[in-house]
Amino acid sequence: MIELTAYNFSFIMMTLITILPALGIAFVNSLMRSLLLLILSFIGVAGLFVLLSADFIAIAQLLIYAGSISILLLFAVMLTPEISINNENSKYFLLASLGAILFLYLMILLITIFDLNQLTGNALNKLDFDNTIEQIGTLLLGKYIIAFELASVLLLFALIGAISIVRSSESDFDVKIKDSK
Amino acid sequence: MIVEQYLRVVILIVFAIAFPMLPLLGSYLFSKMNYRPSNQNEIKSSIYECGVEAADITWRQFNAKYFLYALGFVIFDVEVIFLFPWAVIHADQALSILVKVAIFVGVLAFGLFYAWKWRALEWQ
Amino acid sequence: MSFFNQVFKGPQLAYYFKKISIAVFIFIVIVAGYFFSQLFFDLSKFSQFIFDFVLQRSNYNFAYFTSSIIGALGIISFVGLVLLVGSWVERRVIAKFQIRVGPNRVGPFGLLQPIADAIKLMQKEVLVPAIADKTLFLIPPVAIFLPAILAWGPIPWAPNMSYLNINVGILYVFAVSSLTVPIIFFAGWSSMNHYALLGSMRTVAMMVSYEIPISLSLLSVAIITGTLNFSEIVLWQSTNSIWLGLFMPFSLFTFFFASTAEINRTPNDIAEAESEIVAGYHIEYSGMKAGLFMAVELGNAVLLGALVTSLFLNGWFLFGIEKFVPPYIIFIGKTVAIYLLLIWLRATFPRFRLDQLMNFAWKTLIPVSIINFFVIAIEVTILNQFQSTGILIYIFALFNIFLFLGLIVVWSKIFSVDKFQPEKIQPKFAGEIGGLEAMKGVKSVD
Repeated sequence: MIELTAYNFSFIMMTLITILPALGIAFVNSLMRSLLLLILSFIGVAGLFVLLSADFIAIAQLLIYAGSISILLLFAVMLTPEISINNENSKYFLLASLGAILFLYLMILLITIFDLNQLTGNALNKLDFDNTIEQIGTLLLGKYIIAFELASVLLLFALIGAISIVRSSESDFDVKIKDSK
Repeated sequence: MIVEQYLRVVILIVFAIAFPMLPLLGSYLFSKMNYRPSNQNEIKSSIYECGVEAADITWRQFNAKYFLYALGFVIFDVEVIFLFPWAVIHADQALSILVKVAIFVGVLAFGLFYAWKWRALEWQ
Repeated sequence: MSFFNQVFKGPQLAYYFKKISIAVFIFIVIVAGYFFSQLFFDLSKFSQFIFDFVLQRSNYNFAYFTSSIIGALGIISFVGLVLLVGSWVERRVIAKFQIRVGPNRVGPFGLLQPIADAIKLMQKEVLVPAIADKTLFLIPPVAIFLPAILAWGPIPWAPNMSYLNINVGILYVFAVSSLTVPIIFFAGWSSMNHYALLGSMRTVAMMVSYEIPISLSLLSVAIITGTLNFSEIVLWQSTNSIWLGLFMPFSLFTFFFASTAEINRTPNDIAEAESEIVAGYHIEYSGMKAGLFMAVELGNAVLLGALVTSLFLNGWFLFGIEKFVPPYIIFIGKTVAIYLLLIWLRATFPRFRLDQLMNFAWKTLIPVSIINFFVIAIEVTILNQFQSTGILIYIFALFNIFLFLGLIVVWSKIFSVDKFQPEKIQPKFAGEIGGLEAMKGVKSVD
């Protein structure tokens, strides 16, 4: 039986903050409300990272997911033509629930395979990192330098993809060609 | 020790929620004491009540340009979050590390240049 | 004797008595203030005392919890004080700029005006649009205070006096304040008003664009100081005896200008361009809820002052004066100075157009910021080759100032934003788009 220390209590609270809004996202009809719940869920995940003593990752989670990705999703929702505020009659309900069940099965498999005692927050907390950000920096520019560089290429592809959707018909490149003729 | 510091964040969150609640609570008490009027009618509770009557529904399809700006924001945010660990350790690193970072930023700067040249950054 | 008679004649006697008594009063205030400040010189001793007091009677966790709650109360009461006094200061100073009096009726010098305003706002009728999303409508006025108050956490008021002493301080403030953006959007969307939705979309697009220059300028701060902890940044500036704002003026400019866009203040207050979109995202909010939105803007302005002070203006240090005056008084003084600068800007500048602002963010601030942090990274590498950074750091500071003055000139010459093209923006006539019947008879003007 798990004893109810302050640490475990806060872990349970953070899990609830993560999971309950996540359930809400699936069952709330209004897209905007589910987006708000999504942001709450992201904040809960950041709290979980804090409990693992990974403060930099927690802040990154807050900044990238709760601050940026949510904006991206907001604009993506605003791009949709007038989906009514109430979109309860979704076509993909069966498919989505099938996917959810498969994912749950996968998660249970993963949990049973790994030795959970090594991965709990208590074990990590005992390591008591003083400053995670310096270690991340050393690793990122040393051992994982190729992943670091590839990340920028990936981001570039995303940007170019978006530009190709949005760009205006004529560019500065075209203008130069016209001038040379 | 890290977790201990963030307990303070939770306490501050509680206070930050309670703080704006106080004047709202005061407003509620005023309504209980009949100091606050509340006679709603259809005109008052329509949107933009003192102007022209609103035509059409509010939720229109927006320009895809907004999406591009948001995507650019996400990309540069991710870039910055990758760069912060480098920035902290930069002081005691060799110059060769700076070259690696220059490649990383250069690729994204090319993306910015590309967007600029395709006139994707013109706000209309 | 004639001199004596002249001085101590009837009404003049009272006049001089008044003058002298005012002088004595000021003297007493200064002396008392000095002793008072010596008594409260180091507030961390008090918190340590409370911590020890509770620790003797209880366990460590409870003592920590108590001291945290006292710290949070301190922050909240400071923010509350700022919101009360700040609105009075802003209105009085703006009135001075516009050669009028400003609020002066309620209480001495109109000091009680903010309280009267708050009571008035509480008594106002609350209107919620009938077609609004009622639940979402209620969340933003409260939730918008979360980033505004949470960001005060790691502010270093004095040595050993910051509520949160975390290693990711800068990033924490940046991440927390980025949560404002979705909240503003929800405020605009849930009112289901065309103007509110348009206003929030514009605001979000602008805030999103200006977050990147902010993060890049914070990055250059992190590069040179090698830490993200606010207190350590302030200490770095004092050990190297240079203000970071002097060393990298462009970062200071970027941070300040972009932050005014973040907190919706003039010259970048697109959110409330009343000539274009009425009041922006909070048009449908009435009564105290609208008051909360206004209050949070004011609180954010003071927060910006505190951030600029600790990051670029050397925090609680001021040329050795910090030995006589309590450090937190110096810190608050600098913060207030920045806030007054913001009021000055508000009184002086007109509002920029949205397309100008977006172009400025993406085509000027972001590229130049990238160049800026590379230049600073190279300079830091050079500085680390030497044992003492004494004179070299000042040379680099001078170099930076001239480099970025030059860069601004070059940028405006080469990459100038599209020139004014009247033929492109000529309005379409009603006849041109096949509109009014009467337009058929009218010949085109050109």
